[in-house]
Amino acid sequence: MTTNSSKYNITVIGAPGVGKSAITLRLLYQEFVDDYEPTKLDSYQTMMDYQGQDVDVQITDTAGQEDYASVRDTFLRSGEGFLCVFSLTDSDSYSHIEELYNQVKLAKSMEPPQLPFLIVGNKSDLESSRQTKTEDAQRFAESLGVKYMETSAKNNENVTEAFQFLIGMLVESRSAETAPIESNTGKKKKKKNGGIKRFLCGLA
Amino acid sequence: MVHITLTNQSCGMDETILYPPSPCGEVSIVIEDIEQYENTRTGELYSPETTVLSELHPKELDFLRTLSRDRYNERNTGVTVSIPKDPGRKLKRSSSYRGKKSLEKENHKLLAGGIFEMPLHVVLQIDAINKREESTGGTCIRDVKRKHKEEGIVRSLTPKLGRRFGSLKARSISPINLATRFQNGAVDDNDCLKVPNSSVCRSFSTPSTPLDSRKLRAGGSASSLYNKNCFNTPPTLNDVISKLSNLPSKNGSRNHLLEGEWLINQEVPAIIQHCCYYIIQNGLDQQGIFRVCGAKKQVRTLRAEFNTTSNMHVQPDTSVHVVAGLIKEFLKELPEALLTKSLYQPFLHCRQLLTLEERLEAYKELIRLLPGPNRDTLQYLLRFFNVVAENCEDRFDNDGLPIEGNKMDISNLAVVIGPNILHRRKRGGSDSKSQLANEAWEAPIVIEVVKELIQQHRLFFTVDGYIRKEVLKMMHETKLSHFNDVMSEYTDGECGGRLTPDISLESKGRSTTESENRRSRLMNGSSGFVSGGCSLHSSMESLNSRPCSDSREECRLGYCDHQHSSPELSQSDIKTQKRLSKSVDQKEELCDNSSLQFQLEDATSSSEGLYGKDAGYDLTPPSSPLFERNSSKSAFCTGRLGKSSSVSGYGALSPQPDLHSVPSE
Repeated sequence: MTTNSSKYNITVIGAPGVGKSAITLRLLYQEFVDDYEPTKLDSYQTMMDYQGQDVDVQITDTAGQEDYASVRDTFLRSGEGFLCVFSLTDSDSYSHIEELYNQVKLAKSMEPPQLPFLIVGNKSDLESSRQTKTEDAQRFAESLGVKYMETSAKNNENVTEAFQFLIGMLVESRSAETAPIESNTGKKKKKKNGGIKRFLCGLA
Repeated sequence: MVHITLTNQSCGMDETILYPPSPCGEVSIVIEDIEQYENTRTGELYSPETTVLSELHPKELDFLRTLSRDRYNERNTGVTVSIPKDPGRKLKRSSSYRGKKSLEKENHKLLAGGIFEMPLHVVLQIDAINKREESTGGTCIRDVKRKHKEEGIVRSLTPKLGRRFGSLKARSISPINLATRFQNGAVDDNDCLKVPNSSVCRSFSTPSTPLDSRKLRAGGSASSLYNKNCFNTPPTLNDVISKLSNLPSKNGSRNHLLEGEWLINQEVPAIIQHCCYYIIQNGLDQQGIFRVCGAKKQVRTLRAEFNTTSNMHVQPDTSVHVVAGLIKEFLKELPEALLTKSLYQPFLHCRQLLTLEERLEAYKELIRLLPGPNRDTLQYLLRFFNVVAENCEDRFDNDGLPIEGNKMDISNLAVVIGPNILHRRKRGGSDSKSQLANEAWEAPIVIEVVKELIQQHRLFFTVDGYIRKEVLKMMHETKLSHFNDVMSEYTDGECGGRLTPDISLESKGRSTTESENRRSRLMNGSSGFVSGGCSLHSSMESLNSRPCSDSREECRLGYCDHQHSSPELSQSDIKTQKRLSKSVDQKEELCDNSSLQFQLEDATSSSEGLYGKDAGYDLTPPSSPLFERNSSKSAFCTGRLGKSSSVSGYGALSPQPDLHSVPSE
């Protein structure tokens, strides 16, 4: 079993009150947190299992409020994979998805399928007050070229799967990029060595 | 409940009583003989009351700002603060010299710009223009018909209620009439729309028409035209609102909202008032209010409506989340943050102060530096958020039916409101990366600061009498002309920040009890503004311990009364004072055999004994030698105060005994 030393960064985004923190905390602590507390910005680190590999994952739980839009934008740039959550019981949050998607696209200057992006419809346990049909969301996700899942943080449905899916995308995209990354680090090393040498020369 | 009875034979009524509660639950009461102090003062004839900031004369406020700035800078928080510019100030002066035509042109230009993304003072100007046009039938032709119909009703009211209702004439229906209709459940949509204009009355500083012909005080903005109007509400209205918002009326949380806690005479944009009012009526119980964002489309529509029309109505079926979102959007898009860019760092640095008392003092000082409209709007919003937060928990209504709370307690609200009112972003968002990163770091501090502001909002918007004294003294020494201006206006009763006749110069001819009662009536007139939920109810009672119940009642019924009643009173008082100022001996007789009785009621406040510091600070301002002299004379008494460790209410901290008669029921 090998351990991948580099960290994968997953950023959870979505409208306020859709359950971003609930999903994140369900994944991390295997429990449903019922607190009503808007998130400013929380960051967690965890190890996840992906195809027998231990993967180091950093999960950034962002604020849904527009009030923190400027803060969020900085984290969009540093994020790699994006879990875009909406609430199945709140059609307003569903309509926010497209905007968020565009923001991410702009910040990362990437598009699917390269862009690791997953749309998640949360609160699937509240079937009675559902406002968005599965088919509609599915169709919408397809039009954007991304995948769609329905989760329930309360009943622990599909939560781990959603994260697993994103990590899969990240691992794949990184392994595809390894070659150019290696060459980059090589250059850096060279430069560093040169710097140290020069420094030593100066001392002598 | 703890009763502390103090008897001091020698100085009687001229004593200052302060309560610096010590952490161990004991309370020290400092008796200070301020007689000498009074006489050597510059404004010998008057001793200023504790006053709401917005009631102060602009010139006095200027000096107060200087003083507060210096005080803040002495704190060594790591930043020095400067007084933020008030962009509305210049405008006020220059606009009065312009011709009518150019003014009209300008008005149109202003109106075309809309109210979003505009500085507060411009928004207020637009409000004023809208109101003026409305009153002349300019833009609201469709309302004219209704207006005529309603005027009949209102007119029948006006003789009874006096000029306070004058401003209701224009475009509103009678609150009483409305009340009955609400009770019958027969309110059509149009009536609902008008609610903010009529029934808000005392609860809200409702923009009304500038029918009031009273002349504006010097430096008063165009917008204060309507702000000058006072309303009073027939008692039935309170019942109506409490019914409407479906809350148990015995729940103390809402009382201060209904009973005159909302200020008048303030410069608060109409959009804020309308939106807040709408939320109070329709959405206090909506889960996640201010957190959940409304549908963007609806927000945009509502925004466009507010931007283009002078009819600032929120359609009755609008989702409260949309309205809340609009409030946030309005605040966020102000060209400068509500708490101003230049005060951003100073506010954040307050967090470095270790004790809550220190921080609160620092906040107080900073808030005094804010331009008028910013300060008034802040006060309005903080109060409003308190009302929202009070409904955060699930509870039962009068019939035992469960009501779900909105779950937005003060810290939740601070999270969603903080970054909108306290930031240093430029408009357009062309901030550098490092600045954005900084903002992310500072976000928790911003939230903490805003949380404390909401929690303690009652403390920040008044200025204690002793500080005013210092300010007046400073004015007298540095700018005598300003001092005279201010004094003459206060004595005319034009300004709310009146000075009350000095107690020590009270006429001897009058019976002591009578004068005492009258004085507290005067005081209550203004202190009613701040009385709200004082946890300390200390009543300074007359010599024979007779409670001045009449004055308290007056305060409860209508705190705007003092504006009408006090000018005559204070003027006559001044005359008597002048007559008697020579006879110092008489004073002493008056002061003899007086006893003070205090009732400390429910002095349980969560504020961690914050007033202890306050009081100590009150006593010995470092700059005044007079204070030193006095404090050497003071006697300290200590009494037990049970488990209560703090006292609240502004009145409790001021050096005038009669300010203690702040009703708390």
